[in-house]
Amino acid sequence: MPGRKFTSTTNYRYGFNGKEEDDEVKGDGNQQDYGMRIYDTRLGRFLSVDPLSKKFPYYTPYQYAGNKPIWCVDLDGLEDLPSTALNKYGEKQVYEITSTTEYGSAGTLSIDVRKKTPSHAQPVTKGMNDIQVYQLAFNRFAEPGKHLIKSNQYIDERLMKAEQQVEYFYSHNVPGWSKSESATRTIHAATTAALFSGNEAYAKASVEQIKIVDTWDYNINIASLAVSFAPIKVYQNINSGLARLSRVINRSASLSDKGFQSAWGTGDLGATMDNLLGKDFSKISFEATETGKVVWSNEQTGFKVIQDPLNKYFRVQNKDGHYVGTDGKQVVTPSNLKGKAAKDYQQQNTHFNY
Amino acid sequence: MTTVNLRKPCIVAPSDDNSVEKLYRGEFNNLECDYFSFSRNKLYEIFETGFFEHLNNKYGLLISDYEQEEIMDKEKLVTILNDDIKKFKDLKHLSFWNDFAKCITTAIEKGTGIFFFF
Repeated sequence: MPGRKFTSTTNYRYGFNGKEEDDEVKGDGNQQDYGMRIYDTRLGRFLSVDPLSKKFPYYTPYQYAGNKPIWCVDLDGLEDLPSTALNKYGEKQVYEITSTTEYGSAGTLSIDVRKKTPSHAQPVTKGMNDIQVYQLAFNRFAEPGKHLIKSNQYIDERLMKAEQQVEYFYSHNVPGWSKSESATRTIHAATTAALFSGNEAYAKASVEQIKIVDTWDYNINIASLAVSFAPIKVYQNINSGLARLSRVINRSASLSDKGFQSAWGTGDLGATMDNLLGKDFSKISFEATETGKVVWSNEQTGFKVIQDPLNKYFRVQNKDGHYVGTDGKQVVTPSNLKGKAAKDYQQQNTHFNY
Repeated sequence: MTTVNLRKPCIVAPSDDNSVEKLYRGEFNNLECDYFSFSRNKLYEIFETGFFEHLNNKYGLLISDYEQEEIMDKEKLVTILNDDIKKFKDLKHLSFWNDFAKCITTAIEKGTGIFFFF
């Protein structure tokens, strides 16, 4: 506070946030050493770019504690972590960064965060399967600040990696994704709206963009992924969108649990689309279903290819709505197969993993 | 004799074993059955109620769009008719619930089952 100055008889070197003061540079209390960067307390900013700015594209690279100085501390000039949360024993959460790793072409950074104390605190993802971890990461990304951790939990490596994947999804599927703060926020808002409010025009624009930049086979996979998530229609609010996404993911888990896919054969999605829908993309229309599938169709040939990009399989329908093989011909069940065995034969020969 | 049109989502309650067998084999002509179809938008509205997710979780089914599933167990059909439908039945989709209940009733009476072609 103005006019008040703390003077220690032992020349205590540490100030705000427990960081060492560099008083000799700009005067008392005006500069601190955070280890990774130098902090100017008068600006409330670091003097150099955040080494982890790739991981936090939505922040200016000079921000302190994620622009949340009340709720968070900045550990070493690297990233924000909540400091006010107390566990059920009233103890303060303490974190330390033990290592950083760079991942090849993705260029993302992984931070191995471990909690020092207290020892009874649990990782946020304890008891969660991978899909639940992914959901939590997605929720935290879509609604920053809303999905806080419980006081006796800490953010662990699994969640941080899942969050990186969510970011990776955005950065690779959203045209114009930018690391600059204002552009990123705008795109984040637009993408979230597209994801949860059924903005098919945006999704289709995404696909057009993606089509330009890469090869056809790659396009099918990436474009369909973007399309399948983008027009998930929501009539009320973002929460029902998340609930819907949750159903899609639960269905995926259920499919996996029941082991159906292991009984199915494999198929070449690109070749099947070329053969049955044609290679002229202008004649192919597509729509995303509310369960995360993409239906590609060509009215002229009458065929539809139903792709489930999340679970990596597809089916083919002829003009009468019958499921057929990748050659477009109906699957004839051998006469010796009866009942469920006949059904299984049909299912196995009209589902194709890819 | 009925021919099931698969261009729209539909629910079929075969009336005899021969028709059950045909459905298992992916044959949809000349069936003895009770069936009703509805628009894909209606299907997604019903999905939105959580009814099929409830059935999937409760009975270990995989009812989803562009998939086929069936329920052949009489006890399950009775529970769905007397219990599960009532939990989700709403005025907005009354015709769906009534048609669905009618199909289940047929399946119970004829000792067959119901097939979902979504």
